[in-house]
Amino acid sequence: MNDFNPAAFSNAVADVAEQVAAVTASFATHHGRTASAFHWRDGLFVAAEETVEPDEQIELTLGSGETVQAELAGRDPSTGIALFRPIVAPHLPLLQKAGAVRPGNLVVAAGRDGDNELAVLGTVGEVGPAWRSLRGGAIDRRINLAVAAGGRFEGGPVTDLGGALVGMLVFGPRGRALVIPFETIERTVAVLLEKGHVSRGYLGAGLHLVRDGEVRGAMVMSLDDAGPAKSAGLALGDIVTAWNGEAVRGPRELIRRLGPDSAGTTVTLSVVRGGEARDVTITIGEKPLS
Amino acid sequence: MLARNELGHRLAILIVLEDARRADRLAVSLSGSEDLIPMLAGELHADDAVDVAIVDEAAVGHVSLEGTPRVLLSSGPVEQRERFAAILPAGAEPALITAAARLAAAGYHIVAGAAARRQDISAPADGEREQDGTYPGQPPLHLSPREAEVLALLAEGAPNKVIARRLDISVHTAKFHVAAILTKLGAANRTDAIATAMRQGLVLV
Repeated sequence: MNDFNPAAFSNAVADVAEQVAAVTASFATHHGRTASAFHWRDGLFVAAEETVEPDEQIELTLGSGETVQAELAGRDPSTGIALFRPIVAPHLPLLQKAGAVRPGNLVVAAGRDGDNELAVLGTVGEVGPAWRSLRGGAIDRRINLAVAAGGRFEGGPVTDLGGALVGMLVFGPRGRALVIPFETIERTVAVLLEKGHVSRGYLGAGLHLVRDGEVRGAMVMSLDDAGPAKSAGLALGDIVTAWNGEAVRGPRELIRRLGPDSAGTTVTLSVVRGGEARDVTITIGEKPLS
Repeated sequence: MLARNELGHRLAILIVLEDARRADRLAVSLSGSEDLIPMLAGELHADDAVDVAIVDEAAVGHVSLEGTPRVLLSSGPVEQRERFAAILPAGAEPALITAAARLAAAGYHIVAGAAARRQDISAPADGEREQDGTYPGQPPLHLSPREAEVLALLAEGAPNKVIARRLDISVHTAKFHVAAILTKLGAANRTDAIATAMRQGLVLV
């Protein structure tokens, strides 16, 4: 490290930031705030689903200073991805896919607030295998960042120091900075382009967390007359305690299993009815995820 | 007059409260749920079938309630608690009363807090909140019937414009209802609101 040149390093980071910020866009959310989006492929932009109100069109402010109207091409709350299609596709470069990252690797989180480019240097804090979001989405890798980026950065690109795309910045519970990885975006965008939405598994039951003695589970509080739960013989008051033999301690854990890939599958639910345990076989239905 | 076979799957809920205005308000709240048919004591005919009754102490001796599960709204200590399917505080939220009535109609016996026996559905002591802020026995949020309709459309992913059109209200009013729902659910945005509502049984999972 004897030949480390801090000024050169600083400029190198700023160069990456400038190159990445060129593909970012800014849009207004609510309460006068903004969030970021970035050019994905073919003139399409991705943004963080949570920042996008489903109404109307949005106006993207691009790096060139131009604004362009864009329509929502689809959104997937399970992976946190929203897809926009500008009315007139701007010609922008696209970011190549980054290689694997390791804890300690430096990354740039970029974004835009109106005309201003935003960029911070951060560190990969944690890397892990695929995980499932609260809404049941399959996220291909866990990448947590240590990065001083606020809400304006949400939906912006996270790149390595070569300017290659690791993924999109989103904020998880308690404001933790997470990256939705490149391959998850790629997969989700393909589904959104094909169907306009992502499906979720559907039981057709209103659930509430209960404890019955030592048992914790999701109690059926209401039923859709035409839903899979009713067809499978679930009744009001039943407490669902397991999914294919794996404990489900409440609605949260049940909802996590009802991701897009659960639709159409046949599952055995363990149910406590009037204090007696029984198994119910159910074919999971399908609904657009919203 | 409604006979059981005309009710189909809907629950007939008889409300017998000394405070007639509270009974009226409760009936209005319950009528916000499509599967509930609230009936006030004065409207009841001899051959009406009742699935569950919501009563106060003054109505406990009501003769036509034999064999019907009863939810008691009580302001004081209750003797022979086992006579009631559920006992709730006098000022309980309509949504909680609704939930108790549904469970009572399904044959459950509900006991809250420290009085819970092992086989009962119980609320935990403080400090047992789940990570998502819900806990067993938590009184469900009270949404107005209109808010409940708006929430159902939100859960379908409907934008404000579509909500407005479907409910025949202005976009401004739709936005107002959405904002009220977000506030009640403590949600930062629509996505968060739907996720929270799903976990609390307000949206079908």
